Amino acid sequence: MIALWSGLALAAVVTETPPVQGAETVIAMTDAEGAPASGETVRVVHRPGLAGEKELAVGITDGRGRVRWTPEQAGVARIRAGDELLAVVITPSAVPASTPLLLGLLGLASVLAVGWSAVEWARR
Amino acid sequence: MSKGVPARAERWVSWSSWLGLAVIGATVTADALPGGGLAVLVVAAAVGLAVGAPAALAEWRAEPDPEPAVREALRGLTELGGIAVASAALAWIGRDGGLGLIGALIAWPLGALVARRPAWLGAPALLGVGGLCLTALARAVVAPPWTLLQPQWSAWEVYAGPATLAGLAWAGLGSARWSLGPARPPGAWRAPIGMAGVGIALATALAVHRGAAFEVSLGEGFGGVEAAVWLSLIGVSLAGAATFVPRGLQTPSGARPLVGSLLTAALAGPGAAVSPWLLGVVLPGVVLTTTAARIARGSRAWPELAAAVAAAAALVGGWPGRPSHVGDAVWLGLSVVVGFWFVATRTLLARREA
Repeated sequence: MIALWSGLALAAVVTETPPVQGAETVIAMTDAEGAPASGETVRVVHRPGLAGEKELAVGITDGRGRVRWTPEQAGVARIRAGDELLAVVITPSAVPASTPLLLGLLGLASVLAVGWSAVEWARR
Repeated sequence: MSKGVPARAERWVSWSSWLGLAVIGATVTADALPGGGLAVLVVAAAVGLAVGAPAALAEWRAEPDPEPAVREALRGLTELGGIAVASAALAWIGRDGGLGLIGALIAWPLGALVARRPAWLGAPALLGVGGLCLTALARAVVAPPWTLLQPQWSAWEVYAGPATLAGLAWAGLGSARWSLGPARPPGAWRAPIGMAGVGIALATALAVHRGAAFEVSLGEGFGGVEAAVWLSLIGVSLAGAATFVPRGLQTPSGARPLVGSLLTAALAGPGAAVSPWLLGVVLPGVVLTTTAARIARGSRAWPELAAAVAAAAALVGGWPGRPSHVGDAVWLGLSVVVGFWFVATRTLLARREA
């Protein structure tokens, strides 16, 4: 899956590589002049605005404006560094099992229900 | 049975109304997705197939209510509920503006036009359902909707009400006998099961569209033009079927499309706060009233008892709370007064005639 990056008008936060669940990446922050912003607290919000939203601390940027991050959870997330926000999609390390399974079961239930009704209709 | 519409055409009107009910259920579950993910659809599907469909079948098998005043009150309630709920569903399609709003606003006149040839009434809905399902498959491949659709079972208090309501609506419960739209398609005893299946497919496809939109917009929104267009097509059939006065489906009414258009425009705009009341209170209220009336008159079919309990749960779970603005309260009060007047007058007239 393609990781999508979104920068604000003056994007000051970036990830060096597209974030992947369980794989370390680096979050880099620069100030308005483009210089590394050190000493900024970096947090990440998983599933923003949804049930199960979780905010985790990543760390504080070092002298080069960088902090290492290993995403624990896949999906849409927002990285907050100081006053800056960066929306990202964290690629799952493996396709989550429950969601496709439930989608398949719902599809199967739908087909069976429609099919059962249609067979009776055809018999008449 | 019918005066102006032959039996075959009547069947088309009936099927179109059923497809419209699938839209209503889908809009209800779509709003609950952020709270429960796919758990919403799983609960709705279980309620639809295990409670709603058996209860609708039990309702179909029963004889019509012989008491004219009760019959008229229930007919009035469902007739009013039908047009109001259809308008609320269309307003939902149009609430994000753009093509969806245009589609919602022209659904009533287009529906009235299509209703002149009832055999065509189902065509836009079938096109809409097919298009939404097929494009959902494509969207799922391009932008897998894992974040929004991840099931959140523990947040049941958020989604249990809407999910239960959707399950009951899909099966056509509360609408099969006294007609929120659909009359019984002749000979189709398993129709509620089949239509619950269509409802599940439609809601799942819409959920995939919204989940994909959430991923692509990086969590900024769920809406999409594509889904709105397909839903608007189904809305044309829903509006078209709702132009028939549900009294043996005689002829399309000229007044109903006008009332529906005005109501849709109001609900998509200044009266938006009333929509949750129509979908969260009127719809389960109609189901509860109709099933409770049957139970009070001696029905002991377990699916109807289960449906009455489920409708009460949906009513409690989907209660929108008190209006937060004076304007919203005015719109709501006006709706209640008009609704009461509409149902009460025809009940009184029926009692006098009896």
